[in-house]
Amino acid sequence: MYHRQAAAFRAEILRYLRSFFETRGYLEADVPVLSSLVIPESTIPLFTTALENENDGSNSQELYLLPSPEYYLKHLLSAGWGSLYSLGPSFRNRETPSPRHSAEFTMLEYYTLGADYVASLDLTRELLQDLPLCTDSPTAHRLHLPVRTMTMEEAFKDLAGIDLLPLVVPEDSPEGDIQALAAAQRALAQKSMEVRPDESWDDCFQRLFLTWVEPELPDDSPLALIDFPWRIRTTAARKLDTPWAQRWELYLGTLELANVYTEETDPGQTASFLEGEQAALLQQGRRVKVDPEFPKVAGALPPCSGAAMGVDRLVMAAGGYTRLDQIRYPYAK
Amino acid sequence: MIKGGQINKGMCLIMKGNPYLVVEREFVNPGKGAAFSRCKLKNLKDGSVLKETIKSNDNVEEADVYDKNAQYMYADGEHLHFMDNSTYDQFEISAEYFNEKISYLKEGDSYKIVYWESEAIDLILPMKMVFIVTEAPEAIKGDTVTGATKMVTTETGLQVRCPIFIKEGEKIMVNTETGEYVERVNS
Repeated sequence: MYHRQAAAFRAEILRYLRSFFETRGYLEADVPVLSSLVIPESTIPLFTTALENENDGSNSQELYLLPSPEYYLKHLLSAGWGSLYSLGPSFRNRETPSPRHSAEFTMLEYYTLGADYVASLDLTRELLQDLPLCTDSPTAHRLHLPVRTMTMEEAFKDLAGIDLLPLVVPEDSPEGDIQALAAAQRALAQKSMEVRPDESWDDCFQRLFLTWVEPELPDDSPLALIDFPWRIRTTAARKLDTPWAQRWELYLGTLELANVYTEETDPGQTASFLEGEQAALLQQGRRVKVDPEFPKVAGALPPCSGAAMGVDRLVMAAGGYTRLDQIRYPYAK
Repeated sequence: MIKGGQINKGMCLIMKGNPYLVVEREFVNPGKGAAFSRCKLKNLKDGSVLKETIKSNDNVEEADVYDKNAQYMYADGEHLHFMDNSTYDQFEISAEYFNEKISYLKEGDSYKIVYWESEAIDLILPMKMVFIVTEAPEAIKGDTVTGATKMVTTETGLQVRCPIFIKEGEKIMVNTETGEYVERVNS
């Protein structure tokens, strides 16, 4: 399944990515894979491990396999290191492996100082323009085609016939939360989907998106799906006076390739994001150690945009491969 | 109860009070979002198709669906009469739900009957079946257009659109899903 030729192609892409950022003045930052602190996210189950005491083997420190380099890169950004990128493994637990998904994957994360999410889109377009492609693949050329943009609101309307506005406004109040959830449940019912009384707004939204929108995304060229609902809790900044976040995702058909934000630099917003995620984790019976200083770190961030790209999937698309185990050694059989 | 992440193709689930067969299942794990199973489900009672996405750690009810092989004996208008192939017990099922399939049933042949909560909800026909043509009108003289067809009737009363060269007494293969003629069978 995994051939030398594919490994060589993957190595060529990794060289290209490094050279792309080096020539633009980005510094490659090294982040620890074994991490004692992470940004808690209720939708990202962690791999937990421990440092054992050298004398008796008892656990002396709980550690996580890095779910994303964001925590460390933001520390470096707020310390004034300038534009940065990192290229290395990330891990997500409780996710069933599939041809396009692996619990261990290679993440490229790049932060551009002074940029917003739109500027990051221009940079990502440049990155794709000269990306090495496997010339004998009939599908790889799509990555060199112009990246189209479509707002999330348009995607729901045009691809699924769902008006997204009632689901995203009103907001910022307990009443608003109830109304938004009711609107999401109505949309599920209109689409003959099951309405689960205990379901959160996020899950309703994801089910609508994954059932009716994502499968219909065009697969003839890359697409930036732009302006996600602000209601989805992330570390993206809000688009002023709108119900949308400054966030886009890169898709090639249903293949999700990248997730990009204008980063939130308000410590209050970051603290409230962390509280919300901690509460959601507790509800799931999980607890994750959190750095109480992190809101300060986010508050000290210079204005910047961060992008996270799934490199294994990028290699797959650029090489015309259909399975991850064709382009990297599978961690488990 | 099973978890959404345990759903597999071929399983039967209860959704909104009805039994559904999982015909497609794909795991989806959004970069920022929980894991889900994206499914295409077929209603076992009326054949309608439902799209549904279920969170991996949500509970889903499995439908207690089973089948038995039985020999078709006869129809009496309201009921279809069968004999269980393993117990030789005779039983009947309501013909109402199977109107479209009655004219495919051949006396003495065995079929799979699908049950949910003691109710027969489906009758599985082989994908392709061979029938004897019992009525075949002569082709209209001069009708030599390529692809010209006529309607014939089989020994079970099934009406099939066939090429004009098919004659009474000949055997034809029919696709039971589409009801279309497949080929003439020489025997």
